[in-house]
Amino acid sequence: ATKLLQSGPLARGLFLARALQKILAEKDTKRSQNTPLREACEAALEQVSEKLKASGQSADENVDADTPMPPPGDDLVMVAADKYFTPFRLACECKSAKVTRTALDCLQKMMAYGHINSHMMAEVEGFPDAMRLVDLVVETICKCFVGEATDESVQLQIIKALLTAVTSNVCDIHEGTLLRAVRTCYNIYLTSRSAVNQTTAKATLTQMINVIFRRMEDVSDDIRA
Amino acid sequence: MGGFFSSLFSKLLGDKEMRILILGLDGAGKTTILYRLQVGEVVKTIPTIGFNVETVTYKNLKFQVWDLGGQTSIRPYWRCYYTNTDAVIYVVDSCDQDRMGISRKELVSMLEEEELKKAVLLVMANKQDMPNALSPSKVSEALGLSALKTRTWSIFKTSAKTGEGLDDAMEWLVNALQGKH
Repeated sequence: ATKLLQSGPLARGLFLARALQKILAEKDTKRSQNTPLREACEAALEQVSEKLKASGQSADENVDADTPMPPPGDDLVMVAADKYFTPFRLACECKSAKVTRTALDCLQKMMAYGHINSHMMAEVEGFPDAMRLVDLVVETICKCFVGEATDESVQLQIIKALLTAVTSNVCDIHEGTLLRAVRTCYNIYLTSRSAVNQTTAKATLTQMINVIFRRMEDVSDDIRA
Repeated sequence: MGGFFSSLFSKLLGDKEMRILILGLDGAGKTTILYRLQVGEVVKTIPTIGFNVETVTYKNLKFQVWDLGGQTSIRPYWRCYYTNTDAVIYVVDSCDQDRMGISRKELVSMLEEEELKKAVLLVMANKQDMPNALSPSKVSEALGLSALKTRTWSIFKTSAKTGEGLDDAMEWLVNALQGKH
């Protein structure tokens, strides 16, 4: 069966709901040590479902169908995605490769489609000031790489997400965060035992560095002009 | 250990995940085709700047399908992904007559690469749901496909939007890949 997905906040809510449901459906999420993750997913799902219900949609509709993409975002009707970041952060910290992989894939799509962007702030426990959400997201992604023992499919999702974070025009990452993204890709290139991941990390690094230098040159041209 | 046994089993059973690249100019419909193949849905997409990679299962065969951005500035990175590629799905916007020449040039330079020498080529003359779409034979002519002598290739008319032709195209691809492996 084919259906055209709606755009706008509704479809965005559905994307989030499906992603959370997918994480909740994993066997590993049900383990007792993952209670915080499960609770965070359920809380976020409840909020999303309420929003959907208020607009006459159900999150349970077509649960089986994966919504593979969030709709393209625009700044005006932005769902406050930062509110829903916690379950994904916990999923990234989870020791299950399947759960982490799903979370990384969702974070990449949310960045690519502009639902996580440079304007959003996140409150972080232990820090007096809010930090930019993208910085926190990139940090979370990089932490998923724990050396050569990292699951190969997780490595690939890290590379994919970091390439999007660096090259997207809405993420706008700088300094420590940018350096961290580049360094993580380089580390995967150096240490990965998977030939595919090595090749991909190499291609990704090339593309990242070219984009970074092109932007630097654009800025210095502007200053000179 | 798990990795060792699963790779041993896949050697015995021959269910090696095949690597497929989806390439073509920007706006040809590559990402839409990828998700149409994966979940059977038409999704709204935005121009790809990084890459998409998904596992697609078709007729019990598992493919790792890579969709790379097609904008001019990212095309030079295509070649970084050629290693160990089993097949290339080359997607052409059948309505974009102006850029058919560019599409041909990119295809030709891709096929010259040593690393893709053995890769199967599936061309999708996409957007056939549009009234001004060129026929597959016209697209084939514009791309110079008849000059391909040593390659296993075919062209299909498709519409990622309606789903037309995708099954036939994949059926051909599966057979072509099995004939080789």
